[in-house]
Amino acid sequence: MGGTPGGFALPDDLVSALGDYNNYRSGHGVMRAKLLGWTPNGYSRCAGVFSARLNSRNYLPPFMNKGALSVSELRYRRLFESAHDGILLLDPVTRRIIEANPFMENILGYDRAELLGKELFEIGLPQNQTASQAAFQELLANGQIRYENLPLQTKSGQRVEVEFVSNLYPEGTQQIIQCNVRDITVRKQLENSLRDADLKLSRHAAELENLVNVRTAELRQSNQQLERFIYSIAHDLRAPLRSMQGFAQLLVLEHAERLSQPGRDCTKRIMKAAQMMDQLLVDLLEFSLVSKQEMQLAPVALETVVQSALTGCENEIIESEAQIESHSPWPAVVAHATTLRQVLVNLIGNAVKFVAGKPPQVQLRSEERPNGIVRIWVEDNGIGIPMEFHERIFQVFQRLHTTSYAGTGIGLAIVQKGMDRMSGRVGLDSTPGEGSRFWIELPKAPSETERGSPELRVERPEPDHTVNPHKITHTSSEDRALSSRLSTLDSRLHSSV
Amino acid sequence: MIIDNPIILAVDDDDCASSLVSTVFERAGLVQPIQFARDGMEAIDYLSGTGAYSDRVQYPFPTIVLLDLNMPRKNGFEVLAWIRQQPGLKRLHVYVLSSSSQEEDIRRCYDLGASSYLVKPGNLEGLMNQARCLLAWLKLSHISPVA
Repeated sequence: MGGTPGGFALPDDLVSALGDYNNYRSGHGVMRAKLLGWTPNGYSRCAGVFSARLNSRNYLPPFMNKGALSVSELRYRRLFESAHDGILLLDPVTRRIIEANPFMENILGYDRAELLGKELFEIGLPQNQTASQAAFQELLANGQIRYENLPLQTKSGQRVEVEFVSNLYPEGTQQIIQCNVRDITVRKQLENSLRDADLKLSRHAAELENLVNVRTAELRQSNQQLERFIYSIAHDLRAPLRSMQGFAQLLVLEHAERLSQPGRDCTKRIMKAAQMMDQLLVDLLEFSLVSKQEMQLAPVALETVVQSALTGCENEIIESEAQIESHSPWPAVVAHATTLRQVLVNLIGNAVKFVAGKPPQVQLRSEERPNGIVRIWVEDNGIGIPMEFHERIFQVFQRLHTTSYAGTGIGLAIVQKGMDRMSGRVGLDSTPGEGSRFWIELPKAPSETERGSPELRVERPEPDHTVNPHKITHTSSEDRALSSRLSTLDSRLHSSV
Repeated sequence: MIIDNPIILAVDDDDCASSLVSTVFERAGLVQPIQFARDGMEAIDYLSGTGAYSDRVQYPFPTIVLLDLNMPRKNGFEVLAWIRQQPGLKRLHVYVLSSSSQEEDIRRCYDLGASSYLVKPGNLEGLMNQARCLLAWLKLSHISPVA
């Protein structure tokens, strides 16, 4: 059994110290200071006495006997000593450190003896006395102070970053300051490298984006060159062809009687072939015009365009004795009137062409789809198209039939191109023998009340002469598809380098 | 000046096309043989009577010009612009006869002062119709704007 705390002797065990202490309750502040000052080598013991004091003053429940208190004290002191946060206890009056846990030594490199009795600014927390005093004022006023990110120097001058939280707790009539210091140097380093990586990544992404844009522009340009090339080839080839056709016709018209039958046959074949070639060139010209025409999208009255397209197909309709039924209603859509007419002419022409041994029957109707989309159906009773060809038929020069049906294989390519350029869609349902149901989709034009302004009336175009004052800017789906393909390509290139 | 027998100057670098035009106009009733220029430069020389073209017996001044657009040296647009700048030629009938049906070309020609714009037809009948109409119209109009 040791002496009393008042006699400056360390008790042999905590329980007796506590008992002694209770007898000297009024003098506890002095006792603590002396104990701490006295026993730098008796670290654990001293802290134990200190903690016991805490419990005895305020928190010891009536049922807790002295043995239980001892267990609790040990439990919390383990937490204190093994914590991976630095913990400091400060006297709010003197501002001096009265306790520090082992991890605090790790963080700053000062050993416990150096820490005790110091003010925070002396160990660089914060870095000068004025700031330290200000921080204390704040702490006393608010009960808490918190620094998310406090740069510090260790004893050996190394830089560490800590998260610093300081709380003021009441202990009976007194108060105590507890500081929790967490070393966040590694976290900060990770955060920094993450930020660097992010920055690098976004720089790379920007470079890639730029590359895609450049390549897209190049491709678009070479596409345009190609389209101009198609146009000029088709255009220039027609000139000599016209002469060939003209002279062959003259031959038949004016010299037929002087030709033998085989000679007349040859001339007819020349004319027929020339006519076929001319049709091919005309279609190619049309195709290249759809590609290069400037698309200004505007509200278009569908009914007018459908009528105009039917007029455009008059010859084929009469020749094939087709029955065409156009079912209203026809809402207004956002489109380029001339191109839409071309698309419909080709779809109707297609519908009346591929019919075996019966008059073609064609149904034209519209259907309102979700999200403000209007679908236009062109349905025929023709020979139909096997599923495996549904994609291919929209490509240039793709023909499914050789001699039995006339055609250049460009019509549906014009349809596809035209719909692409208007940011619309095209597709079909078809079963061989049961006809084909082609559809195109365009956005529905807002109604006149929704548009409000009288300038934005639905355009009712004259066939072939369209001037649209209402410009709607858009990127064609072709462009988008191109950039997405390019970015995939680029990322593959990138990863293989 | 009453137009009885119009004189046509066909400007086209394609000999075959010119020959066909000539044949067709002949069939349509044109009396005076068609005159030819094979590009824009020749057309300007012909109209201004330069060199050999100063002989107006052999190269009579035309009542109308049929002008192709796409030609070497000087194209149809340049010839048209030049004609409209000449005081003595600014009212000359100039019919553009081109295979282009592009709005851009058509508008440009009218802006430059073309009297009319005809798209070259794809077949003989079309060409024949054009020739007949043109001659009939010239007969109807009676008066040449140049005088």
